[in-house]
Amino acid sequence: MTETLSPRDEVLTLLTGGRVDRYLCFSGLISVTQPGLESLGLKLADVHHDARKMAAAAAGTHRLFGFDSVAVPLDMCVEAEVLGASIEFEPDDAVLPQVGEPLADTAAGLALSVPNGFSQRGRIPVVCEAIRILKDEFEDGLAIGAWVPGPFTLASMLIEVGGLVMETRTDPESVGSLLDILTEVLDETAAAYHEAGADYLTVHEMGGSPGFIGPAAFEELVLPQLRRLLSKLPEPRVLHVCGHTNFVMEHLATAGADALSVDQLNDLQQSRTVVGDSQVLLGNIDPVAVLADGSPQDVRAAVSEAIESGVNAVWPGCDLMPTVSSDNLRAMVVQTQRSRPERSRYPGE
Amino acid sequence: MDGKWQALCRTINEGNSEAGVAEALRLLETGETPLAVFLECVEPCLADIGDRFARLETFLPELMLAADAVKAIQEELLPRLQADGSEGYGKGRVVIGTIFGDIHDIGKSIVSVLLQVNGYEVKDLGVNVPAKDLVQAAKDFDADLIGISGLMMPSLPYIRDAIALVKENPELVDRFRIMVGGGPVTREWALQAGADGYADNAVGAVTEAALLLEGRP
Repeated sequence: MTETLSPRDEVLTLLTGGRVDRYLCFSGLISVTQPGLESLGLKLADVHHDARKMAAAAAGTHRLFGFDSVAVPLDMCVEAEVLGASIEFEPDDAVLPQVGEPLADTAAGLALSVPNGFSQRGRIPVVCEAIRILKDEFEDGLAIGAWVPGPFTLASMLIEVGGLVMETRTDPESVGSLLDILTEVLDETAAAYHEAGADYLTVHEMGGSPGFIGPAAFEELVLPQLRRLLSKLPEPRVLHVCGHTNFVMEHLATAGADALSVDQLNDLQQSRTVVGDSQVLLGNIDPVAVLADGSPQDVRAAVSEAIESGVNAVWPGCDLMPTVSSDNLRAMVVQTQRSRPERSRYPGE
Repeated sequence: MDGKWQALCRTINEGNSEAGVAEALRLLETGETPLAVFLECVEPCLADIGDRFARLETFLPELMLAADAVKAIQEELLPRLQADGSEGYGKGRVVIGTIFGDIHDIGKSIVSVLLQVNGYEVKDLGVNVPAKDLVQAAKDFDADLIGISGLMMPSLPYIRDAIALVKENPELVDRFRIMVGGGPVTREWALQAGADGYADNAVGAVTEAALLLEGRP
Protein backbone atom coordinates (compact mmCIF):
# COMPACT_ATOMS: atom_id res chain seq x y z
CA MET A 1 0.00 0.00 0.00
CA THR A 2 1.39 3.38 -0.90
CA GLU A 3 -1.42 5.73 0.12
CA THR A 4 0.59 7.00 3.04
CA LEU A 5 3.82 7.51 1.17
CA SER A 6 4.93 11.08 0.63
CA PRO A 7 6.11 12.03 -2.86
CA ARG A 8 9.66 11.78 -1.48
CA ASP A 9 9.10 8.26 -0.28
CA GLU A 10 7.41 7.35 -3.52
CA VAL A 11 10.44 8.48 -5.51
CA LEU A 12 12.89 6.71 -3.23
CA THR A 13 10.75 3.58 -3.15
CA LEU A 14 10.55 3.58 -6.92
CA LEU A 15 14.27 4.15 -7.41
CA THR A 16 15.12 1.20 -5.19
CA GLY A 17 12.77 -1.12 -7.04
CA GLY A 18 9.79 -0.93 -4.72
CA ARG A 19 6.18 -0.53 -5.68
CA VAL A 20 4.28 2.71 -5.99
CA ASP A 21 0.75 2.83 -7.24
CA ARG A 22 1.10 5.65 -9.70
CA TYR A 23 3.51 6.74 -12.35
CA LEU A 24 5.80 9.50 -11.20
CA CYS A 25 7.06 12.34 -13.36
CA PHE A 26 10.35 13.95 -12.45
CA SER A 27 13.95 14.49 -13.47
CA GLY A 28 17.25 14.09 -11.68
CA LEU A 29 18.95 16.11 -14.42
CA ILE A 30 18.90 19.84 -15.12
CA SER A 31 15.30 20.95 -15.01
CA VAL A 32 15.29 24.70 -14.61
CA THR A 33 12.73 26.48 -16.77
CA GLN A 34 12.18 29.99 -17.99
CA PRO A 35 8.56 30.02 -16.76
CA GLY A 36 9.79 28.93 -13.34
CA LEU A 37 12.43 31.64 -13.31
CA GLU A 38 9.95 34.29 -14.42
CA SER A 39 7.55 33.32 -11.67
CA LEU A 40 10.36 34.12 -9.22
CA GLY A 41 11.50 37.28 -10.99
CA LEU A 42 14.85 35.65 -11.73
CA LYS A 43 17.08 35.32 -14.76
CA LEU A 44 18.94 32.11 -15.45
CA ALA A 45 22.25 33.86 -14.86
CA ASP A 46 21.14 34.70 -11.31
CA VAL A 47 20.87 31.15 -10.08
CA HIS A 48 24.33 29.65 -10.42
CA HIS A 49 26.15 31.50 -7.65
CA ASP A 50 23.38 32.02 -5.13
CA ALA A 51 22.20 28.96 -3.20
CA ARG A 52 18.83 30.43 -2.30
CA LYS A 53 18.07 31.36 -5.91
CA MET A 54 19.37 28.04 -7.16
CA ALA A 55 17.08 26.21 -4.75
CA ALA A 56 14.11 28.37 -5.67
CA ALA A 57 14.69 27.91 -9.40
CA ALA A 58 15.05 24.15 -9.01
CA ALA A 59 11.87 24.00 -6.96
CA GLY A 60 10.02 26.04 -9.59
CA THR A 61 9.62 23.01 -11.83
CA HIS A 62 7.89 21.21 -8.96
CA ARG A 63 5.77 24.17 -7.87
CA LEU A 64 4.57 25.24 -11.30
CA PHE A 65 4.21 21.91 -13.03
CA GLY A 66 4.08 19.25 -10.35
CA PHE A 67 7.36 17.38 -10.93
CA ASP A 68 7.66 14.80 -8.16
CA SER A 69 11.21 15.76 -7.23
CA VAL A 70 13.68 18.61 -7.58
CA ALA A 71 17.33 18.39 -8.57
CA VAL A 72 20.47 20.52 -8.51
CA PRO A 73 22.87 21.79 -9.79
CA LEU A 74 21.43 23.72 -12.70
CA ASP A 75 24.40 23.55 -15.05
CA MET A 76 27.05 21.11 -16.23
CA CYS A 77 30.15 23.08 -15.35
CA VAL A 78 30.49 22.90 -11.55
CA GLU A 79 33.35 20.40 -11.40
CA ALA A 80 35.07 21.61 -14.59
CA GLU A 81 35.22 25.09 -13.10
CA VAL A 82 36.99 23.83 -9.98
CA LEU A 83 39.47 22.02 -12.20
CA GLY A 84 40.39 25.29 -13.90
CA ALA A 85 38.11 25.51 -16.92
CA SER A 86 36.86 28.98 -17.79
CA ILE A 87 33.10 29.11 -17.68
CA GLU A 88 30.99 31.49 -19.72
CA PHE A 89 27.94 32.65 -17.80
CA GLU A 90 25.64 34.44 -20.20
CA PRO A 91 24.24 37.42 -18.32
CA ASP A 92 21.11 38.11 -20.32
CA ASP A 93 20.06 34.98 -22.09
CA ALA A 94 18.27 31.79 -21.18
CA VAL A 95 21.41 29.82 -21.91
CA LEU A 96 23.07 27.39 -19.55
CA PRO A 97 26.69 28.15 -18.65
CA GLN A 98 29.21 26.71 -21.06
CA VAL A 99 32.89 25.89 -20.86
CA GLY A 100 34.92 28.41 -22.85
CA GLU A 101 38.29 27.40 -24.22
CA PRO A 102 39.27 23.82 -23.37
CA LEU A 103 42.29 23.39 -21.10
CA ALA A 104 44.06 21.08 -23.53
CA ASP A 105 43.75 19.47 -26.93
CA THR A 106 44.24 15.95 -25.65
CA ALA A 107 44.11 13.96 -22.43
CA ALA A 108 47.81 13.26 -22.81
CA GLY A 109 48.46 16.99 -23.00
CA LEU A 110 46.41 17.94 -19.96
CA ALA A 111 48.45 18.76 -16.88
CA LEU A 112 45.58 18.39 -14.46
CA SER A 113 45.94 19.66 -10.95
CA VAL A 114 43.22 18.59 -8.55
CA PRO A 115 43.07 21.09 -5.70
CA ASN A 116 43.01 19.85 -2.14
CA GLY A 117 39.62 20.00 -0.53
CA PHE A 118 38.00 19.74 -3.95
CA SER A 119 34.44 19.65 -2.66
CA GLN A 120 34.98 22.85 -0.69
CA ARG A 121 35.87 24.82 -3.79
CA GLY A 122 34.13 26.73 -6.54
CA ARG A 123 30.38 26.43 -6.58
CA ILE A 124 30.19 22.98 -4.98
CA PRO A 125 29.44 24.56 -1.57
CA VAL A 126 26.72 26.66 -3.25
CA VAL A 127 25.09 23.51 -4.60
CA CYS A 128 25.40 21.89 -1.16
CA GLU A 129 23.77 24.90 0.44
CA ALA A 130 20.96 24.78 -2.14
CA ILE A 131 20.39 21.12 -1.20
CA ARG A 132 20.19 22.08 2.49
CA ILE A 133 17.74 24.88 1.71
CA LEU A 134 15.57 22.50 -0.28
CA LYS A 135 15.70 19.92 2.52
CA ASP A 136 14.64 22.54 5.04
CA GLU A 137 11.88 23.77 2.82
CA PHE A 138 10.37 20.45 1.85
CA GLU A 139 11.48 18.51 4.92
CA ASP A 140 10.75 14.94 4.05
CA GLY A 141 7.93 15.71 1.65
CA LEU A 142 9.86 15.88 -1.60
CA ALA A 143 12.88 13.98 -2.82
CA ILE A 144 15.90 16.18 -3.44
CA GLY A 145 18.15 14.89 -6.19
CA ALA A 146 21.68 15.91 -6.99
CA TRP A 147 23.75 14.92 -9.97
CA VAL A 148 27.28 14.87 -11.23
CA PRO A 149 28.48 14.48 -14.81
CA GLY A 150 29.96 11.16 -15.81
CA PRO A 151 33.76 10.99 -15.94
CA PHE A 152 33.95 11.13 -19.73
CA THR A 153 31.50 14.02 -19.82
CA LEU A 154 33.68 15.92 -17.37
CA ALA A 155 36.73 15.09 -19.47
CA SER A 156 34.97 16.48 -22.54
CA MET A 157 34.60 19.81 -20.74
CA LEU A 158 38.32 20.01 -20.04
CA ILE A 159 39.68 18.80 -23.35
CA GLU A 160 38.89 19.74 -26.93
CA VAL A 161 36.14 17.26 -27.72
CA GLY A 162 37.50 16.16 -31.07
CA GLY A 163 40.91 15.46 -29.61
CA LEU A 164 39.46 13.47 -26.74
CA VAL A 165 37.20 11.44 -28.99
CA MET A 166 40.03 10.53 -31.37
CA GLU A 167 42.28 9.73 -28.43
CA THR A 168 39.90 6.94 -27.38
CA ARG A 169 41.38 5.15 -30.41
CA THR A 170 44.88 6.55 -30.64
CA ASP A 171 45.83 6.79 -26.95
CA PRO A 172 43.27 5.04 -24.75
CA GLU A 173 45.80 4.74 -21.91
CA SER A 174 45.96 8.51 -21.49
CA VAL A 175 42.18 8.78 -21.61
CA GLY A 176 41.86 6.01 -19.02
CA SER A 177 44.38 7.66 -16.70
CA LEU A 178 42.51 10.95 -16.85
CA LEU A 179 39.16 9.25 -16.24
CA ASP A 180 40.66 7.55 -13.18
CA ILE A 181 41.36 10.95 -11.66
CA LEU A 182 38.04 12.44 -12.66
CA THR A 183 36.12 9.55 -11.15
CA GLU A 184 37.72 10.34 -7.79
CA VAL A 185 36.79 14.00 -8.17
CA LEU A 186 33.20 13.13 -8.98
CA ASP A 187 32.99 10.74 -6.06
CA GLU A 188 34.12 13.50 -3.74
CA THR A 189 31.59 15.92 -5.22
CA ALA A 190 28.74 13.42 -4.98
CA ALA A 191 29.71 12.61 -1.39
CA ALA A 192 29.42 16.31 -0.54
CA TYR A 193 25.97 16.46 -2.10
CA HIS A 194 24.92 13.38 -0.17
CA GLU A 195 26.32 14.82 3.03
CA ALA A 196 24.31 18.00 2.40
CA GLY A 197 21.15 15.92 2.28
CA ALA A 198 20.57 14.80 -1.31
CA ASP A 199 18.12 11.92 -1.27
CA TYR A 200 19.38 10.35 -4.46
CA LEU A 201 22.28 10.89 -6.82
CA THR A 202 22.37 10.76 -10.60
CA VAL A 203 25.43 10.24 -12.75
CA HIS A 204 24.82 12.07 -16.01
CA GLU A 205 27.04 10.53 -18.70
CA MET A 206 26.35 12.58 -21.76
CA GLY A 207 29.66 12.76 -23.61
CA GLY A 208 30.68 9.16 -23.07
CA SER A 209 27.65 7.71 -24.79
CA PRO A 210 28.35 4.43 -26.58
CA GLY A 211 26.47 5.88 -29.54
CA PHE A 212 29.08 8.62 -29.63
CA ILE A 213 32.42 6.95 -28.97
CA GLY A 214 31.30 3.43 -29.91
CA PRO A 215 30.32 0.49 -27.71
CA ALA A 216 33.84 -0.94 -27.58
CA ALA A 217 35.38 2.28 -26.25
CA PHE A 218 32.44 2.69 -23.90
CA GLU A 219 33.01 -0.77 -22.46
CA GLU A 220 36.76 -0.35 -22.27
CA LEU A 221 37.04 3.21 -20.99
CA VAL A 222 33.76 4.56 -19.66
CA LEU A 223 31.89 1.63 -18.17
CA PRO A 224 34.64 0.64 -15.69
CA GLN A 225 34.70 4.22 -14.39
CA LEU A 226 30.93 4.34 -14.10
CA ARG A 227 31.01 1.06 -12.17
CA ARG A 228 33.72 2.43 -9.89
CA LEU A 229 31.88 5.68 -9.29
CA LEU A 230 28.49 4.08 -8.73
CA SER A 231 29.97 1.54 -6.33
CA LYS A 232 31.10 4.40 -4.11
CA LEU A 233 27.82 6.29 -4.09
CA PRO A 234 25.10 5.68 -1.52
CA GLU A 235 21.77 4.28 -2.68
CA PRO A 236 19.70 5.14 -4.54
CA ARG A 237 21.80 5.91 -7.58
CA VAL A 238 20.55 6.71 -11.05
CA LEU A 239 22.71 6.29 -14.13
CA HIS A 240 21.74 8.39 -17.13
CA VAL A 241 23.49 7.75 -20.43
CA CYS A 242 22.65 9.81 -23.49
CA GLY A 243 22.37 8.76 -27.11
CA HIS A 244 22.10 5.29 -28.58
CA THR A 245 22.40 2.90 -25.67
CA ASN A 246 20.56 -0.23 -26.74
CA PHE A 247 23.73 -2.12 -27.58
CA VAL A 248 25.05 -1.74 -24.02
CA MET A 249 21.87 -2.08 -21.94
CA GLU A 250 23.04 -5.38 -20.52
CA HIS A 251 26.20 -3.67 -19.25
CA LEU A 252 24.31 -0.66 -17.94
CA ALA A 253 22.02 -2.95 -15.99
CA THR A 254 25.02 -4.35 -14.12
CA ALA A 255 26.87 -1.06 -13.69
CA GLY A 256 25.73 -0.68 -10.12
CA ALA A 257 22.93 1.84 -10.50
CA ASP A 258 19.56 1.32 -8.86
CA ALA A 259 17.79 2.95 -11.79
CA LEU A 260 18.72 3.61 -15.41
CA SER A 261 17.72 6.68 -17.37
CA VAL A 262 17.92 6.64 -21.15
CA ASP A 263 17.23 9.24 -23.79
CA GLN A 264 14.83 9.32 -26.69
CA LEU A 265 17.15 7.41 -29.01
CA ASN A 266 16.77 4.33 -26.85
CA ASP A 267 14.31 1.67 -28.00
CA LEU A 268 12.60 1.16 -24.66
CA GLN A 269 10.78 -2.02 -25.54
CA GLN A 270 14.01 -3.62 -26.62
CA SER A 271 15.71 -2.34 -23.48
CA ARG A 272 12.98 -3.73 -21.25
CA THR A 273 13.38 -7.11 -22.90
CA VAL A 274 17.13 -7.03 -22.27
CA VAL A 275 17.13 -5.77 -18.69
CA GLY A 276 14.01 -7.57 -17.50
CA ASP A 277 11.22 -6.32 -15.27
CA SER A 278 13.37 -5.94 -12.18
CA GLN A 279 15.41 -3.06 -13.59
CA VAL A 280 14.02 0.41 -12.88
CA LEU A 281 13.93 2.31 -16.17
CA LEU A 282 13.35 6.05 -16.42
CA GLY A 283 12.76 8.03 -19.54
CA ASN A 284 12.65 9.17 -22.22
CA ILE A 285 10.67 12.19 -23.36
CA ASP A 286 12.61 14.11 -26.02
CA PRO A 287 13.48 17.45 -24.43
CA VAL A 288 13.84 19.26 -27.76
CA ALA A 289 11.58 17.84 -30.46
CA VAL A 290 8.77 17.00 -28.04
CA LEU A 291 9.02 19.12 -24.90
CA ALA A 292 10.49 22.30 -26.36
CA ASP A 293 9.20 22.24 -29.91
CA GLY A 294 6.24 19.86 -29.83
CA SER A 295 2.63 20.50 -28.88
CA PRO A 296 0.90 19.30 -25.71
CA GLN A 297 -0.63 16.61 -27.89
CA ASP A 298 2.86 15.47 -28.93
CA VAL A 299 3.87 15.41 -25.27
CA ARG A 300 0.86 13.33 -24.25
CA ALA A 301 1.57 10.85 -27.04
CA ALA A 302 5.24 10.60 -26.06
CA VAL A 303 4.38 10.03 -22.39
CA SER A 304 1.89 7.31 -23.28
CA GLU A 305 4.39 5.65 -25.57
CA ALA A 306 7.14 5.72 -22.94
CA ILE A 307 4.84 4.16 -20.38
CA GLU A 308 3.59 1.57 -22.84
CA SER A 309 7.18 0.77 -23.73
CA GLY A 310 8.10 0.03 -20.17
CA VAL A 311 9.39 2.98 -18.15
CA ASN A 312 8.78 2.91 -14.41
CA ALA A 313 8.65 6.68 -14.27
CA VAL A 314 8.38 9.42 -16.85
CA TRP A 315 11.44 11.61 -17.05
CA PRO A 316 12.96 13.76 -19.78
CA GLY A 317 15.49 12.15 -22.10
CA CYS A 318 18.09 14.72 -21.05
CA ASP A 319 18.33 18.17 -19.48
CA LEU A 320 15.29 20.33 -20.06
CA MET A 321 15.72 23.29 -22.35
CA PRO A 322 15.08 26.33 -20.18
CA THR A 323 12.78 27.69 -22.88
CA VAL A 324 10.44 24.69 -22.64
CA SER A 325 6.80 25.77 -22.66
CA SER A 326 4.59 25.66 -19.59
CA ASP A 327 1.81 23.95 -21.53
CA ASN A 328 4.08 21.11 -22.50
CA LEU A 329 5.43 20.50 -19.01
CA ARG A 330 1.90 20.55 -17.63
CA ALA A 331 0.86 18.08 -20.32
CA MET A 332 3.79 15.84 -19.38
CA VAL A 333 2.80 15.72 -15.73
CA VAL A 334 -0.96 15.45 -16.31
CA GLN A 335 -0.60 12.68 -18.86
CA THR A 336 1.67 10.80 -16.46
CA GLN A 337 -0.82 11.23 -13.64
CA ARG A 338 -3.65 9.95 -15.84
CA SER A 339 -1.75 6.77 -16.54
CA ARG A 340 -2.16 3.94 -14.10
CA PRO A 341 0.12 0.96 -13.87
CA GLU A 342 -1.88 -1.87 -15.42
CA ARG A 343 0.66 -4.58 -15.24
CA SER A 344 3.55 -5.37 -13.05
CA ARG A 345 6.66 -3.33 -13.60
CA TYR A 346 8.01 -4.05 -10.19
CA PRO A 347 10.50 -6.53 -8.89
CA GLY A 348 9.17 -9.67 -7.35
CA GLU A 349 5.71 -9.50 -8.91
CA MET B 1 34.92 1.25 -56.22
CA ASP B 2 37.64 0.57 -58.74
CA GLY B 3 40.54 -1.43 -57.34
CA LYS B 4 43.04 1.35 -57.94
CA TRP B 5 41.36 3.42 -55.22
CA GLN B 6 41.25 0.73 -52.57
CA ALA B 7 44.54 1.60 -50.91
CA LEU B 8 43.63 5.28 -50.54
CA CYS B 9 40.19 4.43 -49.20
CA ARG B 10 41.80 2.07 -46.69
CA THR B 11 44.09 4.82 -45.39
CA ILE B 12 41.05 7.07 -44.95
CA ASN B 13 39.17 4.33 -43.12
CA GLU B 14 42.17 3.84 -40.87
CA GLY B 15 42.47 7.58 -40.29
CA ASN B 16 46.08 7.44 -41.42
CA SER B 17 46.77 10.95 -42.72
CA GLU B 18 50.39 10.39 -43.63
CA ALA B 19 49.74 7.24 -45.61
CA GLY B 20 46.69 8.87 -47.20
CA VAL B 21 48.64 11.83 -48.53
CA ALA B 22 51.41 9.54 -49.79
CA GLU B 23 48.91 7.32 -51.60
CA ALA B 24 47.06 10.31 -53.08
CA LEU B 25 50.34 11.69 -54.44
CA ARG B 26 51.26 8.28 -55.81
CA LEU B 27 47.94 8.17 -57.64
CA LEU B 28 48.67 11.58 -59.20
CA GLU B 29 52.00 10.26 -60.39
CA THR B 30 50.21 7.42 -62.15
CA GLY B 31 48.24 9.99 -64.14
CA GLU B 32 45.08 10.36 -62.06
CA THR B 33 43.75 13.91 -61.74
CA PRO B 34 43.08 15.52 -58.36
CA LEU B 35 39.41 15.75 -59.28
CA ALA B 36 39.23 12.03 -59.99
CA VAL B 37 40.89 11.29 -56.66
CA PHE B 38 38.22 13.29 -54.88
CA LEU B 39 35.17 12.30 -56.86
CA GLU B 40 35.94 8.66 -57.51
CA CYS B 41 37.64 7.76 -54.25
CA VAL B 42 37.50 10.26 -51.40
CA GLU B 43 33.85 11.15 -51.78
CA PRO B 44 32.42 7.61 -52.08
CA CYS B 45 34.79 6.46 -49.36
CA LEU B 46 33.54 9.19 -47.00
CA ALA B 47 29.97 8.51 -48.04
CA ASP B 48 30.44 4.87 -47.10
CA ILE B 49 31.87 5.83 -43.71
CA GLY B 50 28.95 8.23 -43.27
CA ASP B 51 26.47 5.48 -44.11
CA ARG B 52 28.09 3.12 -41.63
CA PHE B 53 28.02 5.90 -39.05
CA ALA B 54 24.30 6.38 -39.67
CA ARG B 55 23.76 2.63 -39.23
CA LEU B 56 25.76 2.67 -35.95
CA GLU B 57 28.37 0.39 -37.49
CA THR B 58 31.12 2.91 -36.99
CA PHE B 59 31.39 5.78 -34.54
CA LEU B 60 32.62 9.28 -34.07
CA PRO B 61 36.30 8.49 -33.42
CA GLU B 62 36.60 6.65 -36.74
CA LEU B 63 34.63 9.37 -38.48
CA MET B 64 36.87 12.07 -37.09
CA LEU B 65 40.08 10.24 -37.81
CA ALA B 66 38.86 9.69 -41.37
CA ALA B 67 37.96 13.37 -41.65
CA ASP B 68 41.44 14.28 -40.43
CA ALA B 69 42.98 12.08 -43.11
CA VAL B 70 40.74 13.63 -45.77
CA LYS B 71 41.68 17.10 -44.56
CA ALA B 72 45.34 16.26 -44.98
CA ILE B 73 44.71 14.89 -48.48
CA GLN B 74 42.58 17.89 -49.29
CA GLU B 75 45.28 20.34 -48.21
CA GLU B 76 47.71 18.62 -50.53
CA LEU B 77 45.38 18.26 -53.48
CA LEU B 78 43.08 21.30 -53.44
CA PRO B 79 45.73 23.76 -54.70
CA ARG B 80 46.46 21.39 -57.57
CA LEU B 81 42.75 21.06 -58.22
CA GLN B 82 42.24 24.81 -58.42
CA ALA B 83 45.35 25.22 -60.61
CA ASP B 84 43.99 22.44 -62.75
CA GLY B 85 40.81 24.50 -63.38
CA SER B 86 38.83 21.28 -63.31
CA GLU B 87 35.22 21.45 -64.30
CA GLY B 88 32.73 20.76 -61.61
CA TYR B 89 34.25 23.31 -59.28
CA GLY B 90 32.82 26.69 -58.39
CA LYS B 91 29.38 25.34 -57.52
CA GLY B 92 28.81 28.04 -54.93
CA ARG B 93 30.19 29.85 -51.93
CA VAL B 94 29.38 28.66 -48.43
CA VAL B 95 29.98 30.17 -45.03
CA ILE B 96 29.71 27.56 -42.30
CA GLY B 97 30.04 27.59 -38.53
CA THR B 98 28.90 26.09 -35.25
CA ILE B 99 26.56 28.47 -33.54
CA PHE B 100 27.31 30.54 -30.45
CA GLY B 101 27.35 28.65 -27.18
CA ASP B 102 28.45 25.44 -28.83
CA ILE B 103 32.00 24.24 -29.28
CA HIS B 104 31.29 21.07 -31.25
CA ASP B 105 33.55 21.12 -34.27
CA ILE B 106 33.46 17.65 -35.71
CA GLY B 107 30.26 17.35 -37.67
CA LYS B 108 30.55 20.86 -39.00
CA SER B 109 34.14 20.22 -40.14
CA ILE B 110 33.14 17.07 -41.96
CA VAL B 111 30.40 18.96 -43.77
CA SER B 112 32.93 21.67 -44.58
CA VAL B 113 35.38 19.21 -46.06
CA LEU B 114 32.75 17.36 -48.05
CA LEU B 115 31.39 20.58 -49.49
CA GLN B 116 34.89 21.60 -50.56
CA VAL B 117 35.69 18.33 -52.22
CA ASN B 118 32.36 18.58 -54.01
CA GLY B 119 33.27 21.88 -55.59
CA TYR B 120 32.08 24.54 -53.16
CA GLU B 121 34.24 27.36 -51.91
CA VAL B 122 33.87 27.19 -48.14
CA LYS B 123 34.74 29.65 -45.41
CA ASP B 124 34.70 27.76 -42.14
CA LEU B 125 34.24 30.12 -39.21
CA GLY B 126 34.89 27.47 -36.58
CA VAL B 127 32.82 27.12 -33.43
CA ASN B 128 30.96 29.35 -30.98
CA VAL B 129 30.09 31.82 -33.75
CA PRO B 130 27.62 34.58 -32.83
CA ALA B 131 24.66 34.94 -35.19
CA LYS B 132 25.65 38.41 -36.34
CA ASP B 133 29.20 37.23 -37.12
CA LEU B 134 27.85 34.43 -39.29
CA VAL B 135 25.76 36.85 -41.27
CA GLN B 136 28.55 39.43 -41.53
CA ALA B 137 30.97 36.76 -42.76
CA ALA B 138 28.42 35.66 -45.35
CA LYS B 139 28.25 39.24 -46.63
CA ASP B 140 32.03 39.64 -46.64
CA PHE B 141 32.57 36.29 -48.38
CA ASP B 142 29.71 36.97 -50.79
CA ALA B 143 28.29 33.58 -49.87
CA ASP B 144 25.38 31.87 -51.53
CA LEU B 145 24.69 29.58 -48.61
CA ILE B 146 25.07 29.78 -44.84
CA GLY B 147 25.52 26.48 -43.03
CA ILE B 148 24.81 26.46 -39.31
CA SER B 149 25.58 23.59 -36.98
CA GLY B 150 24.24 23.22 -33.46
CA LEU B 151 24.64 20.24 -31.16
CA MET B 152 23.71 21.85 -27.87
CA MET B 153 20.06 22.28 -27.09
CA PRO B 154 20.59 25.57 -25.27
CA SER B 155 22.21 27.01 -28.39
CA LEU B 156 19.25 26.39 -30.65
CA PRO B 157 17.74 29.83 -29.99
CA TYR B 158 20.88 31.36 -31.48
CA ILE B 159 20.30 29.46 -34.70
CA ARG B 160 16.87 31.03 -34.79
CA ASP B 161 18.51 34.41 -34.27
CA ALA B 162 20.88 33.88 -37.18
CA ILE B 163 18.04 32.81 -39.44
CA ALA B 164 15.99 35.82 -38.38
CA LEU B 165 18.87 38.19 -39.16
CA VAL B 166 18.68 37.01 -42.77
CA LYS B 167 15.02 36.30 -43.27
CA GLU B 168 13.80 39.49 -41.63
CA ASN B 169 16.17 41.67 -43.61
CA PRO B 170 14.76 42.53 -47.06
CA GLU B 171 18.27 43.05 -48.40
CA LEU B 172 19.44 39.61 -47.35
CA VAL B 173 16.42 37.36 -47.57
CA ASP B 174 16.94 36.55 -51.25
CA ARG B 175 20.72 36.73 -51.08
CA PHE B 176 21.51 33.83 -48.77
CA ARG B 177 20.07 30.37 -48.45
CA ILE B 178 20.38 28.84 -44.97
CA MET B 179 20.98 25.19 -44.16
CA VAL B 180 21.08 23.88 -40.59
CA GLY B 181 21.96 20.62 -38.91
CA GLY B 182 23.22 19.00 -35.73
CA GLY B 183 22.13 16.48 -33.13
CA PRO B 184 19.03 18.12 -31.66
CA VAL B 185 17.94 19.78 -34.91
CA THR B 186 15.18 18.15 -36.94
CA ARG B 187 13.90 19.06 -40.39
CA GLU B 188 10.63 20.17 -38.85
CA TRP B 189 12.42 22.39 -36.36
CA ALA B 190 14.69 23.80 -39.07
CA LEU B 191 11.88 24.70 -41.43
CA GLN B 192 9.74 26.05 -38.64
CA ALA B 193 12.67 28.23 -37.57
CA GLY B 194 12.83 29.62 -41.10
CA ALA B 195 15.80 27.73 -42.55
CA ASP B 196 15.69 26.81 -46.23
CA GLY B 197 17.24 23.41 -45.77
CA TYR B 198 18.34 20.77 -43.29
CA ALA B 199 20.65 17.82 -43.24
CA ASP B 200 21.25 15.21 -40.57
CA ASN B 201 24.60 14.07 -41.93
CA ALA B 202 27.48 15.36 -44.01
CA VAL B 203 26.58 13.52 -47.18
CA GLY B 204 23.02 14.79 -46.87
CA ALA B 205 24.38 18.30 -46.42
CA VAL B 206 26.10 18.15 -49.81
CA THR B 207 22.89 16.95 -51.46
CA GLU B 208 20.88 19.63 -49.69
CA ALA B 209 23.36 22.35 -50.68
CA ALA B 210 23.04 21.34 -54.33
CA LEU B 211 19.25 21.48 -54.13
CA LEU B 212 19.24 24.85 -52.38
CA LEU B 213 21.60 26.43 -54.88
CA GLU B 214 20.03 24.84 -57.95
CA GLY B 215 19.29 27.44 -60.59
CA ARG B 216 21.09 30.22 -58.78
CA PRO B 217 23.47 32.27 -60.91
